[in-house]
Amino acid sequence: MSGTAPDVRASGPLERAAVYGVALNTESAVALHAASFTQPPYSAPPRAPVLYVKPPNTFAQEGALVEVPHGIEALEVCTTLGVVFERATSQVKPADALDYVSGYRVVLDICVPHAQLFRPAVVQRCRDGFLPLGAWQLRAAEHVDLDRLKLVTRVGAQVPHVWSSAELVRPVTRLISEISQFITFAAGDMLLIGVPGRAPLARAGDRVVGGVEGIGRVSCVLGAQVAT
Amino acid sequence: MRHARVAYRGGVHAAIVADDAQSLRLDDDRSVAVSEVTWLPPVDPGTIVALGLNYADHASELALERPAEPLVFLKTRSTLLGHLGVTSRPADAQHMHYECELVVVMGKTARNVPRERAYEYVRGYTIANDYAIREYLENYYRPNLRVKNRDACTPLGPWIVDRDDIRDPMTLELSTRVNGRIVQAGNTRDMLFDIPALIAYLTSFMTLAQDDLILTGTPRGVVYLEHGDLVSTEIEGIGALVNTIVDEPRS
Repeated sequence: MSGTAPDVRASGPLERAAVYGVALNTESAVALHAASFTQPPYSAPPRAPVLYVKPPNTFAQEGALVEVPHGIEALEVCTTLGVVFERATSQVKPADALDYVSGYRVVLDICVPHAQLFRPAVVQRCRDGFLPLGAWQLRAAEHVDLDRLKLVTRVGAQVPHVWSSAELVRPVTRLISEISQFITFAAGDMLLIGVPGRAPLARAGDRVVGGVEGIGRVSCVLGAQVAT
Repeated sequence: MRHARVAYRGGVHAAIVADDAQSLRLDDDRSVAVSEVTWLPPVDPGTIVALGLNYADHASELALERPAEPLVFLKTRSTLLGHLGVTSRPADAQHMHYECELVVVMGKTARNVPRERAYEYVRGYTIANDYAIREYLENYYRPNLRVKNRDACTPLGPWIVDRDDIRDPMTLELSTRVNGRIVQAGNTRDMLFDIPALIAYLTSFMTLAQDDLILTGTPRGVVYLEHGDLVSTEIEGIGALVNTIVDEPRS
């Protein structure tokens, strides 16, 4: 179907959606931490997907200004894919998982860098504006190869950071299947597929542009925290 | 006043609970007996914050150190369940326990709230039973979602009590009964981080919105549950939130 315009629709700010992220879902992220998996406080490698929640205060619109908190030099900002659910999705098999997906949205997943994964990183991941969302959603279609996506993050004038969904530990369909064994995704909920081990760093003043080939783009601008 | 959300004859209604708690006045002014309704979670939050180890006695019971700052984790709406609901215990879970918690319901948008103004942002209070399944604990972003954010594993309710109807939320008795027997008892005065401290801390880095929830943690007293157990989590001045445990059918 080459030459066909992408089937897109404008999307709102996801006000009521639940958004789930997955840490340690790329080979490079696992490689970065693997040596510590058998040490305290972890003791053993993770068994289930390592999940976190991005609550509504993190949702930011395309082009948003995102504050770098006082005392923090740089933020991790990385392009990832948001998989959006079309209907209630519970206990599905990998082969059926994409039947429940309405589309895909490019997002920038932002956090304060943190090496420690023992406690939930709410302070690091859930600050206001830490999830800029692409302005549109691409409707799910067969021509999207979820296992070979090229995800690009451009920070200012730096060399673009590129990663591929080929390095996902759990591919999208398996992620959906495993998580849906105990969490029902509701219509409109979103699952972020992960980020690589050394995500790009961005500082106040940087403009960050994320893009996923064939799906879309999103940008934000980092600024110093305004005094309160 | 006590505010509930219920289903009645197929419709979903906001409702006010009568003083004797035997009837409800629906938003269309009908009065119905409590036995006639299905209780829903009394609020539909955007963000659900929960606290771990926020009572010193519970922390020592689990052989864990008191946290230096609040141990915060997040939940999503998929885990909420109304009063008199049924919660499944997975087939491979022998170590599932209740956690009775005072819940703060936010009343308006809150950002950078100083502790002395914290209560201005509170709409009211309710009860949560923050069930946990210890077999699923892992040491990554612990307590992990598989333990704490399972479908229908966080009963909430039965209703919201207005803030000003609770004279001091920091001196409330909490207890849990399993099949009528008291298995957990404590008092909100033993929280390590009190409600104003939690609101000040959370809003120092994230904006909370109206109807967002803060589950403030649970005191000592862990007993593992069995199929058929009737679990009642109770807080002085608020009420009793009742839930039944059933074994998940093997598929």
